[in-house]
This record gives sequence, structure tokens and C-alpha cells, in this order.
Amino acid sequence: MGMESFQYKSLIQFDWIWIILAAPLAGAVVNGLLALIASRRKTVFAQGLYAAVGCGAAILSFIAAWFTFQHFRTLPDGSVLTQELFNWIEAGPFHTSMNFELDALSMSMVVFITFVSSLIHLYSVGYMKDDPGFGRYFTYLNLFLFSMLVLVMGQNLLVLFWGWEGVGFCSYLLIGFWFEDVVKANAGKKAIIVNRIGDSGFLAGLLLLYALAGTFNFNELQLGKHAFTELSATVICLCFFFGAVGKSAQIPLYVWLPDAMAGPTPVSALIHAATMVTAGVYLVARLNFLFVLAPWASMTVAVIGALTALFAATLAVAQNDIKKVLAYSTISQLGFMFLGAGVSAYGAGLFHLITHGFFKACLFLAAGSIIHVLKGEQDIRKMGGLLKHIPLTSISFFLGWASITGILPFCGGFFSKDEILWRALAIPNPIVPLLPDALYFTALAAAFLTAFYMTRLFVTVFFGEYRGDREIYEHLHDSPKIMTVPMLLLGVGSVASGWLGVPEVIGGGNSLGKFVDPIFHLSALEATNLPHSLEPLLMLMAYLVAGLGVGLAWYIYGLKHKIWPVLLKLIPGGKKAVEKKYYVDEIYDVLVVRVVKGFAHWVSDRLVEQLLLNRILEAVVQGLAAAAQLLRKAQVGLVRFYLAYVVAGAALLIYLILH
Amino acid sequence: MILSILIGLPVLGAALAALFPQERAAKTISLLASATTFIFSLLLYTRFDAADAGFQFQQLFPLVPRFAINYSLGVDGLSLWLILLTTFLTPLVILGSFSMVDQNVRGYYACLLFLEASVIGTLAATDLFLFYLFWELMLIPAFFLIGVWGGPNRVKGTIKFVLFTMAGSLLMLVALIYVTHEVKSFDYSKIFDYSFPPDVQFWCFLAFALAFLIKVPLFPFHAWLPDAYTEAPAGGTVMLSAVLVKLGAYGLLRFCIPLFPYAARAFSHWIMLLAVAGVVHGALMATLQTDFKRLTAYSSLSHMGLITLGIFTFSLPGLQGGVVQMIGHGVYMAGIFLLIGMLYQRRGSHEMDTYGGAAKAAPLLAAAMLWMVLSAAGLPGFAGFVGEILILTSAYKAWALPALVAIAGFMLSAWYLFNFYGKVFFGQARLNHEDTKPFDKAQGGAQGKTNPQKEGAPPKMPDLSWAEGLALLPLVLAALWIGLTPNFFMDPIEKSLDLKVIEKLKPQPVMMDFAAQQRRLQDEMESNRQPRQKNNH
Repeated sequence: MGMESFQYKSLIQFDWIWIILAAPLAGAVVNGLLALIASRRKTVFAQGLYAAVGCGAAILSFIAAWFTFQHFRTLPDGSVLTQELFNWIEAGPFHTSMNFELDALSMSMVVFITFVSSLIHLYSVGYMKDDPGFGRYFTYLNLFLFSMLVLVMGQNLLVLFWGWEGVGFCSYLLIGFWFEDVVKANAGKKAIIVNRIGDSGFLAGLLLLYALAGTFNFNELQLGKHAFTELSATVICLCFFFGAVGKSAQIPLYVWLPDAMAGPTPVSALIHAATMVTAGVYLVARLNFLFVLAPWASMTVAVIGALTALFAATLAVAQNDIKKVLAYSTISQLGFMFLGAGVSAYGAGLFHLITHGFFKACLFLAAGSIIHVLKGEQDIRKMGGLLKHIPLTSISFFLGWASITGILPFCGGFFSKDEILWRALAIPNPIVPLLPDALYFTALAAAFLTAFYMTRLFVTVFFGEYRGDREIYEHLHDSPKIMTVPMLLLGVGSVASGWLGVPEVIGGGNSLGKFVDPIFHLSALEATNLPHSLEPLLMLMAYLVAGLGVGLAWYIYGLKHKIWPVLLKLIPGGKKAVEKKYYVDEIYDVLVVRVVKGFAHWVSDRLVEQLLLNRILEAVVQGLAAAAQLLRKAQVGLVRFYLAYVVAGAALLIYLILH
Repeated sequence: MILSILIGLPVLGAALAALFPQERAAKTISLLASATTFIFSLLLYTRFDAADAGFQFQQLFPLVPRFAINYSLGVDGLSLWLILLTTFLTPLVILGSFSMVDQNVRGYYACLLFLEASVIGTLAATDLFLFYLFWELMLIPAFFLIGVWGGPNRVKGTIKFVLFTMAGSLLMLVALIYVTHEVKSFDYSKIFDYSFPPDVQFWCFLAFALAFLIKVPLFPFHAWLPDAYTEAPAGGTVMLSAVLVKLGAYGLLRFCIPLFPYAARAFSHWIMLLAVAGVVHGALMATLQTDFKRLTAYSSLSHMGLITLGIFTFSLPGLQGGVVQMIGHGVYMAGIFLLIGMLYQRRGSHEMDTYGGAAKAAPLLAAAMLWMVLSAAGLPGFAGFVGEILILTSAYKAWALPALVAIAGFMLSAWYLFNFYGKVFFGQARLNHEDTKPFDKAQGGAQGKTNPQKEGAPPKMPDLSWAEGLALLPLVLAALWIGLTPNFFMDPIEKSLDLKVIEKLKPQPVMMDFAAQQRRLQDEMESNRQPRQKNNH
């Protein structure tokens, strides 16, 4: 396809898009009303009812998405399915419609989201069994799915922002799902506040963008991108990227995601691993036509991504909570995706987004299954030797582990991670020539650590001796089918998703890359730094590094060598720093919370309320009182004074009239 | 006639409510009167002609022929939604107050109805004398609402509120007399067509604007707001925050900008700066509060700053956004303050720390509050967002920096609102220890209801009653409706805003030609010497 077909991509009216959205929305409304009625009447409806509505809605949405996808594939490249629902905001020149569209990018996101989400809905039926908030849970989950779909299907930035804020709000509700626990409720609050800090960047981006382009519609923006100079595009992109940093938990706004593990584990799988946190990557990919105008902004994305990938990986090494390890791993993997998007390899970023969605969801569900069978235990120091007791969970976890480390050749994250690494090195940077090398080696180090901490987790949980409560151990058995089947499907999916993008250089089809190429065609830079023939070599290199990580972790944790503590002792304070997560939470508490509150106090006590209001008011009141005193002195009660006033007044009046 | 009925019905209801000795009868009558008023007011919408920017539903008869003071009413796009907002909210406030007020019940409802009538009168008056009359009349029921049924510091709150408002109104009165003397008419349309010389505009604008900006209130004239909002009874706070303060914004739109466009343009940057200062200041103060009614009062201040900002962008999207924000703010603030009243009625405290875990005990109440909090936090799809995005994009175009600073208000709103929500509704239900003891009735306030409770037992937090639920349901639906189909609200008023505000702001070369204008006016005076008798409608 040439430039022409891209520039004037054909919008095709498709009137069935709304079903994809309406199904989860209707599910949320029905379940929400049922839950409220139940709480009102102090009765409990059968859980099967909520489960049928919630899962049914998600699955219906997936089916609709799948058929739309099949229809979409028959269309020529560059086609976009759109549906116009209604005019949302119209005020003078301001015009925004509630329009939804599916191009190759959002089509792949929608199929992926509804599929993973349906599986996690099913899994939740088992995981949340007997929870008193069962109905509420499915309401929130459906509502989340709806918001996420709005986010990826919106035809303009305001509709996207609707979904963007919506998923953040659902995440707030689901993190604090067990709200009677203050710690969990506060984790939700932290998530929504940190997200809001990022969203203020998003909002600023909206204002700047609208002032320049006069529209929020992606297609119009793309056609009218000459309205942006390099400077304005850079500023706008950085604003939106700040929003993405908040939503996708990158440096410096990643702090909410580890705390978000307070929510139910399926929620962590769906929202805080597979879908919502990837919204930032989606946003950058969606705005690729702007980022290509702003090399500095793209470079920032790449650098932040690479740094986050490494930084979060070092933190994941020292966590003992199984969910926290996975949370830091998610942050790190999101960093990989941003690295891909930042070097303008949007297709590679999307590829990793999808493979990561599968394997991380699988890993989280397996972790949830472990927590479920161990009756709430999350500390990996109290696990061990679970392999033979919960075989299906072990298999799922193994598939996820193999995909994320890339140790099982030719499956899962193996290809997506390699493609990002390859492009990070091979795409030249126009500003800093040596940057590709720096990015590559940072990412390679992160890949090494990924293999290391995941193997540590795998070995500690499934091998060795069981170290927890004996009583639970006596009754160990695997989770029910409603949980293990979705988990295994995701495990298979995480392996298979890698085949979506087997690079051409080793004879693959790279079908995903070709599918989304019309979207990124103009923005993607060519990998000209290195010849393509080197790609397999780099692949081997990455494989060896991952193997080294796995081997080292096996050596330390599997064979119980005491090398790890010795290594850490070499860096004074290193272990403590890692365990305390580099004191970032504490630093933020001082920097943000105290500074804002201190400033507010200062404004309140010193500046406005005291000085401006009370002092000035006091002065006015005293002035009035003084004036009243003066006037009172005039009212002396003697007739001759009053006569004098009358005369003076009359004189003044006569003067005024005659004048 | 419709407008007179809209003013007359609540007055009639107030009189009946005050006359009937039974409290139940007073409640029923006031609810019926306000509900009927609302149903009648719907005629305003159905018969409103969006293509006509002039006054509709006009009614006129001479009041004081000697000074050409007329009883003249009319509605245009500027006042349409505010009247409907008032008639919509009043029955809900009355219904919501059923369980809250138990002293001087008859007087309370009479005051609410009287307040409604005077607000509608203020909005519908097209004669400046009549406008001022209604404007000052509003103070009387508001004064009693805060002063009689208010909280422990109600006297302080009342005095601050009345003094501030009066100070502004007096200056406005001086300017109003000057203006009407100059034009030789109290008729709004005449004054609207008149162009004042720049220096006159300068002083008159300041005098009018001060009255309205105190009402809004614009930073730094907001000193009355936290006290008045906090001390007023829940119903009174709703009327204050949802309706009364909107009249300040209405005054800016109706008088300050179209009558004195030159001065409005000259001052616009200063007012935008103060508006943004209010947005940030209100949000910052809200983060500091431990009393959630005060917190909400400050958040209301923050959002009103946004409305002022929108108005002073002098662009159509900004103005329309301002009006939508007024409606939206009216709806969600009414919801929040009603819910706060319901919480207070259950627990007898506004301190966040005395609550906790309320979502468990009262899920419907928690859900309703969450809905309103989301609207206030500006979640897209809810009432708060549309106005916010329209105002901010227009403000950015008008003057970039203040708009960017105003984003801080958006950012902080999540902080204080979700902090408040979490502290009240999440966590463990609080035990009934020392500082959660029920509000001491003797200490002050009619709204305190002592709940006899056993020491150590969790205080009771019953869920919404049917009446409370019915009062909230329309607000819940409206919050979503405004957020999803704002065009329904913006379309009918576009023409009025365009022709009556934006058009006037365009520099007019005629402005300097006073002699011709004076002559034309003299001629008109001659021809109009006989007071008009005909009713325009």
C-alpha cells in the first residue's frame, strides 16, 4: 500500500460496533442494580446469576469483536470501520462526537482485550466464590471492560479520555474492593491520585492540541498535522506521555502499581497487567503521527522506557510477595513496550503488549491459584515444593515463565522481546548517535534480570521443601476447573501469541506487524544501523543472556548456594535499598504530599486567609467603626449644630444647582 | 403569565405552609407547591424558541409609572436553564429535608419556597428596579435559613454572608441608579442598546461586578463562603451552592459584560487571573480540611472559579461551557450537600475522622455519593467534565498560562474528593467513642438529632430512606444526562449567548458618538411619554 491509501484511509460505516461496547455496559448495569437491590433488601442473590450476566456480557463482547475482526480482514488495507453514535459536545466551533472506530491497531487491541477479559471473568467465578461482594465485583469488572473498550475504540481524544479516566476509576474501585481494610482502600486512593497527576499532563496535552489543530478527531489530526511545528509537537507529545507514564506506571509515577496488588488477583491480572496499564503504550502508538514529528519526545519515551525496564527489574529481584514480584515485572515489561514505541517500532511495542498481556495474565492467574489453594498466603518464603501438588497451576506458571524469560525458544515473549531489542539497536537515533547502543544494553540487562527474578520466583515456589503452614499442606489440591481452564488457555495463548510476529528473517510471517503496518507505515523509522542479517545473531545473544539469568537463579535458589547474600554484601546498603524500594515512596511522601500540604497551609495561614481576608477585613471593619465614631461625634444633640448642618447642606445644594 | 405563576406558586405555597398548624401539612403543601412549580416551568422549555435571542414569555405592566418602573418579566437563553435548575432542585431539597429538619418546620419550608420565588424573580426580571428588588429579597429567606436552622456557629456564618452580600449590592445600587438615570429607563432592553462612554463603563462595571463577584464568589471575595456553607442547614447549603451563587455568574452575563463591554474587556485578564487563583486556592484549601462540609464548600469555590474563567474567555464555547458547568455544578453540589446532610442526620458530625466504613452499612448512600463525587471530580461522561473541557480549551485559547494553572484544580480534585470519600465510606465502621458522640442539641442547631446509642456499639448508619432516595434519584440521573448529552442544554442558549454577550463585546465604532445617541434617546423619550399598557405576550 502506498502513501495515498494511507493518507486517505477509507472510513467504512459499520453499524454493529456498538454491540462490543453495549454488552459489558449492560452487564454492569444489570449486575449493579441487582447488587444494590440485594444490599437494600439484605438478601443475597444466587452467585450464578451475577456470574452468568457478567461472564455472558464479556463473552458476548468477545464474539462480537471476533466477527467484526473477521469482517475487517476481508477489507482492503487501511480500512477503518466507524460508527457514529451521537454528537457529544457541540459549542460553537468546538465539536466532538461520540464516535467509535476500529482500525488495525484498535481491532487487534479489542480482540485481545475481550478474549483475555472473558477468560479472566470466568476465572473470577471460581476465585471470588463465596465473597459477599460477588455481584459488586462483576459490576466493576464489566464496567472496566466497557471503559477499556471505549479507550481503544474512541475516534477522538475526548472519547479516549473518557475511557482513560473510566478505567482509572474502575481500577480505584477494584484495588479497594475489600474496602473495609484501610490499607487496601488507601492503595486504591493512591492509584487514582497518582493517575490524576499523570492525567493533568493528558489534559494539558488536550488543551495545547486543540488550540493548534481545533479538533480531537484522530483522522482529522492526522490529515492536519502540518499545524504542528517540531516544538509544539514535542511539547504536546511530552504532555500526553506524562499521562501515559501515570497510567502505565513508568518512572517517576510507577509507585501506585505495586500497591495496586491489594486488589483481588484476577483484577491484578486483567487491569494491572494485561490491559489497563498498557493504555499508555496504546496512546503513544495511537499518536504515532505526532511522535514522529517530535524526535526529542520519542527519545524521552525510549529512555524512560529502558530505564524503567531495568530499574523495576532490580526491584523485582528482592520482593518476597509473589504478587509484588509480578507487579514490578509488569512495570519492567511496560518499559520494554515504551522502549519499542520510543524508537518508533510501534508494531514491536504492540506485539510485546499482546504477548505480555497473555503471559502476565497467565502468571497472575497462576499466582492467584496458588494464593487460593494456600488460603491467602502470598509470601514466597512460605511456599515451595508445590509442583506436584497443583500440577495444572504449575503447568500454567511454567508456560508463563517460559514466555516471559524467552527461555523456551520460539514462543511467547521470545520474539516480541527480541524484536524490541533488535529495533532499539538497529534504528538510528537522529539526535544522540550512541543512544541505540545504550538503550540496547540497558534493555539487555533488564532482560537478564527478568530471567533471573522469574526463575527465582519459579524455583522458590514450585521446588524445594514446603515452608508454610502444615495444615494447609495436608489438604492441598488444585484449583477448580473454572479457574484452571482459563489459566491453561492463557498459558497456551502466551506461547502461541509469539507466533503472531515471527520475524521474516528467520522465515516467519510477522502477521501482526503486517496487519498494523498501515497505521504505523509513515511513522516507523527504518532499521538502518545494522544489516538485517545480524538479527538472528542478536536473537542468539539475547537468548544466551536470558539463559545466563535462568542458570544463575537456578544455581542460587535451586541449588541453595549462598552466593546471592555475598553478592549483595559487596554493595553496602544495597540489599536494604532494594528491599525498601529505593525509598521512593518515602521521598514522594516528602516531595509531593508534604510540599503540597505545606504550601496549602502556607497559603491558608499566612497569605490568603490571614493576610488578605482577615487583616484587610479587620481593617475595613475598623475603618467603618472609626467612621461611625466620627459620625457619632457629629450627633451631639445640640440644636445649633443641626441647624448648621442644614444650612451647610442647603448651601451645597444651591451651589450644585447653580453650577 | 407563566413566569408570574412560577413566582406566585411558591409564594402561595410558602404562605399556606406557614399558615397550616400541622407540620405534616406544611411538608406536603411545600412539596406539592414546588413540584407544581417545576411542572409548570417545563413549559418554559417546551415553548422556548431557540432561534429567538430576545426575551420570551414577556409580561409587562407599569408598577410606578412616574419613574417608568415596570413589572416586566421575560426569559432568554441566559436565564432559561437557571430558572429550570431552581425549579428542579427546590422540590428535591424539600423532599430531602423531610428527615433532617425538626424544628420550626413550617417556617423552614416557607423560607425555602420564598427563596425559590425570589430567585426566579431575579432571573426573570427584565426591569432593573424589579431585578434589584428580587435580588435583595433573596437575602431575607437565606438569612433566616442559615440563622435559624444552621449549625453551632450559624450567627457568624449569617453575619458574614449578609454583610458581604449587602456590601456588594449597595455599590451595585449606586451604579444601577446612575445607569438608569443616564438612560432614563429601568427597562433592560433599553439599557442594553445604550453605549456608555468608557470611563462610565469603568466605574459601573466595577460596581456591578463587585456585587456579582462577591456572590459567585470570586477569589478573594470568598471569605463568607466557607462559613455560610458549613453553618447553613443541608437544604440551605444546597440552595446557596447550587442556585444562589449561580446568580452571581448570571449577573455577570446579563449585566456586567453586555452593558459595559469595553470595561469587561479591559478587566478580563484580571478577572481570569483571580478566577484561576480561586480554582487553585479552593482546591488547596479543600485538601487541608478535616470537616467534609467545609471541604466541599472549598471545592465549590474552586469550581465556581472555573465558571468565572469560562465566562471571561468571551468565546462561545467558553460561555456555553460556563453555563453547562453552572447546571452541572448545581446538580452535583446539590447531591453532595444533600448527602452530607443525610450523613450528618445519621451521625451528627461533619468531621471525616468520626466516620468510616459507611459503605458497608449504607451501600445506596455510598453509591449515590460516589456518583456525585465522580461528577465533581470531572470524570468524562458525568456532569462536571463537559463544562471543564469547554472552559479550559477556550481559556487556553484566550490566555494560555492561567488555563494551564487551572489544571491544578482538576488534579487536586481527585486528591481531596477521594480522600474524603475513602475516609467516610471505607475502612472499618467506627466505634462510638468520645468524639463521635451525637451532636449536642442544646449546643445549637435544629438539625442535631440525638441517637440514643449504647456506649461502644457501632453508631447506626441506616441506608437511604425512600424519601431520601427519591430526592437523590433525579440528581443522579441528571448528573449523567448532562455529561452525556450536553447539547440538549447548550443548543437552546447558543443564540442568546452569541447575540447578547459575544456580539456586544466586539469593538463598536458607534461607541464614541454620544451626541447622536443622546438625541435618539430624547426622541424616544418623547414618543414614549405615555406609559405603555399593552402586554407583550
